Amino acid sequence: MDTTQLLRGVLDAAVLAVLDREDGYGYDVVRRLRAAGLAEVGDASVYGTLRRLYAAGSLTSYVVPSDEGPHRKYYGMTPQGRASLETQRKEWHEFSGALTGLLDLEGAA
Amino acid sequence: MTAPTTLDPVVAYAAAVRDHLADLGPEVLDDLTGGLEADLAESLADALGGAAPTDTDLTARFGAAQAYAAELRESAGLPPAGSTRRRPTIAERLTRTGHAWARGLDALPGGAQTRDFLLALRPVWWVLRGWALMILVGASFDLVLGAYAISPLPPQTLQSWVLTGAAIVLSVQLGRGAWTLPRGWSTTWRIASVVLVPVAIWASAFVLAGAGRGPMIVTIPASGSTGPQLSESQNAVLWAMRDDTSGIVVDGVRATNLFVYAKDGTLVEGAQVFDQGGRPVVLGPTDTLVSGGLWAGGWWTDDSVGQARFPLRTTDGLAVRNAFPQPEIWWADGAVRLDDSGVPLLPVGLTPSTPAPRATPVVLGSDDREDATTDGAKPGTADPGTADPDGAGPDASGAASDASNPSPSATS
Repeated sequence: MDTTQLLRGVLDAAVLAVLDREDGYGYDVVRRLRAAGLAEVGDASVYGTLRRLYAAGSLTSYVVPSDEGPHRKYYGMTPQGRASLETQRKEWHEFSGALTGLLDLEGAA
Repeated sequence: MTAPTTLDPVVAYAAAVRDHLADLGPEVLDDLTGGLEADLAESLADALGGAAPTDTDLTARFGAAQAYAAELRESAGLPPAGSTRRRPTIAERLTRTGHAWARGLDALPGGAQTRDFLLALRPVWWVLRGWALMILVGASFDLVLGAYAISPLPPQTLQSWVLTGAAIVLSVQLGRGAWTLPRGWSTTWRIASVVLVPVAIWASAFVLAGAGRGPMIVTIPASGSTGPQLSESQNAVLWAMRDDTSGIVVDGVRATNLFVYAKDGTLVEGAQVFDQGGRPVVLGPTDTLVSGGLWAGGWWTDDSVGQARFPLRTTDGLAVRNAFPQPEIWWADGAVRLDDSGVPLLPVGLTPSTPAPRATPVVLGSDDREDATTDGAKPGTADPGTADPDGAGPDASGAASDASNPSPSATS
């Protein structure tokens, strides 16, 4: 199965979930997604998603100065982002439950 | 881990990505690719274990810049390239033109090396840009306050050094991305910085011209105006002139005229003054003319507007720069006219008024021969604008006949 196609639909939820734990900058989010097992996630997809969620009001952003490197733009959750994450979490559980049931049923048949 | 430094292939890749997104406008572009270099560099550092990345590493990891841009665009929910028909802004067009030139340069033999070389020179550009910014700010101060508060050409005062230094720090920090400007200012700054450096070069050329030969004619404004507005560059020339060591300084203030008195206390008109080496005593250098208050081609004018002094001349019309007092006039208005050797001419039709200090009669040693002193002086009668210096001036050697000092011979 092409996991990049699967990711496309759930990347928003994944990014929100990562940032719900802790604020992060662009590549930091990519790294945490990969560490969580989403090895196929594309850098550019994550950055684009961050921008879209920010433009939609789900994320806030702020610049953190760095002593030894360039300044980093960090993203954090807004109340709207948390509400959105909650909705998507619910939808995902319903969807994955349905699909798991379907697949396991087929596998058992 | 330590933050990876951005390296040239990374910068080039990020620039190419931005190039493909240029139609989105500067704000969206900044949202989408702000900090892209740092993200790319860090991602590469994870993959390569800190080895210096090459262009091949970048494309191997991130794909072609165009594809990367398309992925950014799509995941951000933005329309694909070419689907919008928005008119590109000036900044975008400049950016695109710049990138087109860069690509054209890369295509030439040795072009990439040339570009690397030019990129290595960027810090010089940043410094130049900061300095140029200060010139512009200084000129604005000059115009608004009418005061020459900042002088960055080169910095003359402590405040000028501090401000110029601050401007350079600002420019360098912006250039290397350590500081960022608020949204909306970045485009302004980018355009301004392109304009700033030619301004600086123009200004420096002016200073260099001022330090060289050749008179510069400046119009003196009509009396009643608040004063001549010296431009930045003229001020810079004045600064240069102040370093000149010729002329006469009394108690730290430059003498702008001299008055010679006979021993009976009467003013000697057209007295020629020499030093111990027979050198004519003049009031300043002659190679530059900046009038309007401070300096007029070797003839100091008052700080007040339009007052000027002019040299006396021989019957042949040659200026005798060490003959005093020089007639003073107040300008109505008009430019200072110069003769062939760059010396100001006394305007026709203006009557000089030369206020002279009072002097006390003196005696020469023990000898007090009152009848032997003022043979050549005709106080108060000469009009130096039209007078023949032969008639107006004293016989310099005669006037000194009672002194034991050796005297130089004067022009008649």
